[in-house]
Amino acid sequence: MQDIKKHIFVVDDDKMFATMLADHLEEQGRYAVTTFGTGEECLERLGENPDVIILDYYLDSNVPDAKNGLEILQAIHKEAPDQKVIMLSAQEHYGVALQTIASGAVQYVIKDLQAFKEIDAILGEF
Amino acid sequence: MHITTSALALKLRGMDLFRSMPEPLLLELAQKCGIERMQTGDTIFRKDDPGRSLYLLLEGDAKVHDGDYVVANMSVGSCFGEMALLDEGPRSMSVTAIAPALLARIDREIFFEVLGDHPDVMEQIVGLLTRRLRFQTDQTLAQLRRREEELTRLVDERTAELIRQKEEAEHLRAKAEAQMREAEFQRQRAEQSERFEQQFLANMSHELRTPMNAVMGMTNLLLQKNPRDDQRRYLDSIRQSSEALLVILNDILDISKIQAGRLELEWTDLNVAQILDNVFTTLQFRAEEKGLLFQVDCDPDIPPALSGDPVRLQQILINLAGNAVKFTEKGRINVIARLLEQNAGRCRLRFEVTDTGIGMTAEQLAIVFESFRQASSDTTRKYGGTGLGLSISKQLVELFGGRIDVESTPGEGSTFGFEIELAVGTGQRKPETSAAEAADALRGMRILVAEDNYFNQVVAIETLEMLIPEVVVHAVENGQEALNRVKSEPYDVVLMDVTMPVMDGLEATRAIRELPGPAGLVPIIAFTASVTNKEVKKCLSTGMNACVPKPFKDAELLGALLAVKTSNGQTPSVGEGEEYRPENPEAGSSEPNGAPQLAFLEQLTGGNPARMRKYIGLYLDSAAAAIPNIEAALAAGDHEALRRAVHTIKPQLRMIGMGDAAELAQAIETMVKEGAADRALLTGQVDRLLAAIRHSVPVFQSYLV
Repeated sequence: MQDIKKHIFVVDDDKMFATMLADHLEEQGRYAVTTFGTGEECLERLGENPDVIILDYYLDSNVPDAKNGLEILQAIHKEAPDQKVIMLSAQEHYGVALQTIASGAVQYVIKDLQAFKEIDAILGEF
Repeated sequence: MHITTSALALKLRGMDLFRSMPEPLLLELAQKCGIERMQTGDTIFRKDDPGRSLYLLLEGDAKVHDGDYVVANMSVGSCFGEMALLDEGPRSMSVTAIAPALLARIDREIFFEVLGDHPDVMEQIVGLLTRRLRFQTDQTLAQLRRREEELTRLVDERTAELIRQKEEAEHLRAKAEAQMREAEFQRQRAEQSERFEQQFLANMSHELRTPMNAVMGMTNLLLQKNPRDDQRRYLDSIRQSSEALLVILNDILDISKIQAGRLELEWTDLNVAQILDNVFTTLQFRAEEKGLLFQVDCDPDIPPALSGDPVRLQQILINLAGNAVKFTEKGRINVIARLLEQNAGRCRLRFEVTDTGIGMTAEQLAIVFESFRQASSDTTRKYGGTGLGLSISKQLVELFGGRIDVESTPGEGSTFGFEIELAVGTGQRKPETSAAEAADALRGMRILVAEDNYFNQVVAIETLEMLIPEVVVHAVENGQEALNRVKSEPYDVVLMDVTMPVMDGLEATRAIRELPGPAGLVPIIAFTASVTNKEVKKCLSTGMNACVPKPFKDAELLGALLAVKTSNGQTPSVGEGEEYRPENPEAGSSEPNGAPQLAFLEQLTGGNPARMRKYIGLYLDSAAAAIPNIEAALAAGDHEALRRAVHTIKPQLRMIGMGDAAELAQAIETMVKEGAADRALLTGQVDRLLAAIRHSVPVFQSYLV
């Protein structure tokens, strides 16, 4: 049964949100979650072939020169063109969302109270 | 005259002009020369004779005015004569001999007559003259050029000097402007830092009052639960310490309000004798403890019913008399009130507080009214106090339109006095109701308490249950719940906190007032930490019936309940509270006060307390990091760092249930990103965000306990 669990990478420098999301997903019993504070750490482990990567846009709160989510997204797709990535951001700007979708993100989820529900719905479709 | 023709010819030969002339011609010319003796002051060249004659100085000397040619001996004629020969002579020929001189004069016609038959000599001489003339012309031109250059240089120099002066003036003006800008900047900064300071005091006082409320309220509750004797002693000393702390807190508040110009006097009924009585009651015990005689003396002519601010007048007198007690070791304290004059509905009063204490020197008198100053630095150590009392008193007296004065002799004592004018009032006094009567009148009341702070809720419920027999108290956490309860159950009164999450007290009041039937008429008492006139007006205009300040005194709460009960919710009344907090001009009613809404967290975790604590712990970590980050970025004016710090905390605020604060964070982020942020506005917004985060910390910490 363990192998049936989908493996999800959560990349977010916001520890509270990352923890809440990881807990929320694992609680459902269907997902195994690994969290990363920066995109660079996630890239190193891309070989583990996660089913979905949930990737925050701004990742520089703790590491000021950390690459942002868009750069990481592009790096992921360079290595694994079919990798499913859900973008996550506290950013409400349409332009940023469009940019990430254009770069191959599956969806763009705004970090608000509805975020968990939306992520559930998107993951449910895979 | 003594000159022979041959001697003159010899002389002529000595002149270069005649050097090439043959001897016979020279002799002929010399023969025809007129010899003249010139006296001092004579004009050598006559005005009517320009260029007609050639003069040859034979002896003596002469000076030509025109500084170009100083003629001595031989050459007087060389210039003018030569030019005259060519009809090109200078126009100014007034030359004066300064010494007697003997001259030979050769007329031009004679000259030509003699040379007429010798065209080759003539040609030679004309050639020579022409060369000389050219040379002289060139020299003149060169000279003119030099003059011109000199003038140009002078003009240039003058111009340069003017430009330099102008530049210097410009520079000075720019410097003055820069200094003005700098001064303006400094002034703004000073103003800003003053605002920050006031803001800080306001925030601090709020931060202090909330836990103080809990400490004092719960201490009182415990005291009424039959504690053991030792417990009672501890509780008493907690109570006394809290009260002392509250006095200091109020002093700091008063002074910050006064300095911000936000303290207003009330004008209600004022009875001087009553106030002196209160002063006596308050201080007599303390005075007696020190073995001092404490006397108050009220002039019986003072009308009993005056109009003014009794609380503040009493505060002034207690401050002054309290100081007198503090600084007097033996002897007496006298507090007197005298009527100075009375006319046309006004009377002028003089108050004096005299002691036989340590007194003050002239230097001490000079600073005695300054804030945070006491007469000497060890006064604080020895006598305690904030050092604000006299400063507050002075400024309160000034608010009354009076002026405080002081006389003091070191070692003998001091007299503080002031004169104020008060209107003779109408003398209407509210009938006094005892607490017991009030409590009984409220028997069986049904009360709904809407208050988001758990501690305050407990204090309110238990106080009400303690004071009012058979009271029924229900509590809810926000305006929405209050509205729902009022809809479904009948209450005699709602005690409504103003700032609550989900729906604040004002909004809830408006919604309740729109309910049909008796539910819409339920009396509502605003129950808030912020009891400024503006706040009170806002509450009343929203449809509330009264305001009670937090932390409340039992009597105030009972009084307000009684007032709304007896007036049947018709007349708005205000609890007899002081203003507890200077108003914050920037923060409107939408101030995100950091009171969190845990509904989301509860829903997310299914109410799992361990998980809630975990997230709250994570939030507290972030908040602890965010506060200094945001502060540092703001102080450094580093917009990118500010944006990053605010952006980082934003989703957490949202998740933890501080939606308002998250909105504020979003607004700040947008302001910073658009780059056109007005600094003061930005600073104000960031301050509000910081206040909200700070405020949230102890609230969340309380969940972790």
